[in-house]
Amino acid sequence: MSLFKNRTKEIEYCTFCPKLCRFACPVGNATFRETHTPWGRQTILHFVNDGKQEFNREVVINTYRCLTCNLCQTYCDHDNDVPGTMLDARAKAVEMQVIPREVQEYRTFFLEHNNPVGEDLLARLRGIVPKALFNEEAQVAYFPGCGNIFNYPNVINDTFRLLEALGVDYVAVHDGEIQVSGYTLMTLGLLKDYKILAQRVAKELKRYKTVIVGDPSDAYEFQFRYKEVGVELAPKVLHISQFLRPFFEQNKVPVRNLYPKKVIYHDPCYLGRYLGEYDGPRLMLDAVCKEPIQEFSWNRESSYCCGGGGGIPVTHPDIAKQVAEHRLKEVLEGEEKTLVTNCPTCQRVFQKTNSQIEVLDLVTLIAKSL
Amino acid sequence: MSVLPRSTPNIELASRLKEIFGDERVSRMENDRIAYARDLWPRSLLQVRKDQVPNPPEYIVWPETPGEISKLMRMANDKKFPVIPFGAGSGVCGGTLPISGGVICDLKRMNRIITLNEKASTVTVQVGIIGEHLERELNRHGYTMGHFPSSIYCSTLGGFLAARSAGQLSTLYGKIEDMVVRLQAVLPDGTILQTVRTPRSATGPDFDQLMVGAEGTLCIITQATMRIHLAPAARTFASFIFPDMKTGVDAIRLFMRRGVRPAAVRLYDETDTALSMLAIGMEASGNLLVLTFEGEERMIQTHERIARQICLENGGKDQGEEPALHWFKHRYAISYNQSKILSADQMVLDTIEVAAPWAGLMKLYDAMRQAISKHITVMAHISHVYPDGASIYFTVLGKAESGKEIKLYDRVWQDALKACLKAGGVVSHHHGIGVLKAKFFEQQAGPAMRILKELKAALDPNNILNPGKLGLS
Repeated sequence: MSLFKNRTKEIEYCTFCPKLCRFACPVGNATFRETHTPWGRQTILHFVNDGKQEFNREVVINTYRCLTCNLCQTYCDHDNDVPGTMLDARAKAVEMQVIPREVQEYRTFFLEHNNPVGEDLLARLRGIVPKALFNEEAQVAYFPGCGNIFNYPNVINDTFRLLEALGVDYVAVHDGEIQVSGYTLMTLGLLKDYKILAQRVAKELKRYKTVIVGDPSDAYEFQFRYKEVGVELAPKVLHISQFLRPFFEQNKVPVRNLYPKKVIYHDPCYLGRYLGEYDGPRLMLDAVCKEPIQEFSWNRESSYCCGGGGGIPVTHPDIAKQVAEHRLKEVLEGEEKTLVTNCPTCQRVFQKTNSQIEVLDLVTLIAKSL
Repeated sequence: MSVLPRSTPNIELASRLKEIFGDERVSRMENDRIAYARDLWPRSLLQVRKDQVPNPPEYIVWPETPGEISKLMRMANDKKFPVIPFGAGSGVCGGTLPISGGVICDLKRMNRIITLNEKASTVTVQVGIIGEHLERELNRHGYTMGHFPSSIYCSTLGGFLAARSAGQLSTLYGKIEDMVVRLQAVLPDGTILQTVRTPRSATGPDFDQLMVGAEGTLCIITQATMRIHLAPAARTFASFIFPDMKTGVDAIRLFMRRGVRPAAVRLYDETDTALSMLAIGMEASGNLLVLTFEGEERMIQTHERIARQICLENGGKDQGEEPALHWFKHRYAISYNQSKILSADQMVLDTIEVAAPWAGLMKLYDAMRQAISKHITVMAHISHVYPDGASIYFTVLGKAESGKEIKLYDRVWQDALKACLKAGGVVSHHHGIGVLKAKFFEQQAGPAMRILKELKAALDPNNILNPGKLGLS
């Protein structure tokens, strides 16, 4: 019996492919190893699937060398789901108790605190936004996400400042106990824990009609992955950029001060390749920036990952750093510029990698223009 | 349980390799040995399908400097182990297979662009860079190298040079050997050398050309200065249908003789034509010729006008730009089919690229087609064109009897290359020799093979560098 019978097509197509996404894999590019590319990882799973290679710790760890950024799929005519295969392999590893130490440690810590940062995020959130924004009757809630609460409280404030300027007074901040979607649990293969968490989150979000989400990976979890583990989320889910876009399209944003510096925009993987949002952020940036926005040579569907996806910062922080450094090379070329993105993970990874670069969230940049 | 054959690690070798490369850049991990046990030789893929990994390397190392490679070569001579230079492993002839074990030397960490010399129109770059990365970097600065092999996504500059590769636009930009102006390399005894940079010279044999195409048997190329071009300001596309291959070949020869230089020239046989036209929802019988032109607009207009006139005067029927444009947009797409085909049991697939002067081209085409079609389905196109001749690219595809896939594969190659030599062709236009074509390359080279063998014996008396490739056993 094949260990990954449901993924046989993906595994075989990559194994017998002439490595046509080789150049695009940020992990393979960072480590320079064929073993760490989709072709290399899937080749080894091919032998596992055929029962010729043990699904041992070494093989398992290799499946964690994927950012789940999906850039490989941009260059795959078969739309082969490599990240999905890696996530299945990780889940199987957890099920079989072949768990990398870092994953085990992450799990223990997470389960103790219901988040990966070890703090009471709701208490933190209460310290960030005014009491009035905690409204139990609200039908539309803002779910800032762990990354924003812990690292970017200013983005939360900027979001509400912006909403106020747009005349949107019906959005409350989500006051649930759980302030994470469980994205990292899922990417690390901790599916049982993820499902339990998803059920709790779904229960807490049940009372809203719409949830506006600050972190695109959370938005993706809510919109798609919860369903995959059998958890139905009642409210409609929008990423903040999806919510804001119509206001710009209808010229309803009172822009007063155009942002004067040069800006380069980084497409987060989960906002771009996963949620398909490429034009919205650019439309908004065009409206609030004095100069035309600059583009990375790898942008939109070809956008390079920041290094923060797929649980890589947990299992392989060295790879995460190298991927981020690679991405930042173009920012450091030529004139000084502000790096804008729309994801707290990307923002954090970039700032940790190079503190000299100004990195702003799209919402902050818009708020500055009011 | 492991797919790898059992072997005992050489602890002393590991510790000495780590002295050069550190712990992080030496591996004997099972996963790494599996991944580096093959390149993209379809015969290896047939083995993978049978869960066979016959030739894993003992170790893999990732050098960062020529100095480290030099130390590795000295150690290899001292301890007598093979060293196999490795780019991205996209070769299709087994050129990087560690058939005698040893150490794979993966050059991809040496991937820096050193200088972009706009005045000289050259770029100096470490050869571990992946082709697509180099091309994108050049594009960002308004240049192109003009080298577009269908493996560009998964191959390195070092691989291009070692295998003497060709890009799809080689009619305009030349093959890789036409682009190289200077090399840095490490010889088997550890000597690091740099050739002299000059547009042209009359200073004895061309040392660069001795190293290009040597498939890592004479030296490890570490850095190259390559000619570059301004990114094309304009592109145009034209397509024609000819009643038969010969008429099409004659038309191409005539416009090439007049100095017309399209970027790509591809003339398809009937089967290839039917498939190409089907892909764009057009129907046509005969032989499709696609031409692409690129460069300064006024110049390419002239080239296209003359090519068009000659094609129309010599039996061609205009098909508009769509077939050529479609090919250009999807020029790497054909390679994706390999996954579907080779992941299916019993299927056998490969491509055979040979070349001949104009006078013998049709004879070569007919002879090889006949030899191959006895065993398997074959289709072909004229893929790369030069003033004095062209390359023919055969695609062979079929289902073998269960358990006899490799037998069929070997038989096809045996008969194809035998026919090639008999018809006066050369056994490779751009894929190289590797293990696959070694025997036939020796036959083709004849007495000239002595030059290569004696050069190898003099430079690498212990046969350290990539043994068993290029007929140098």
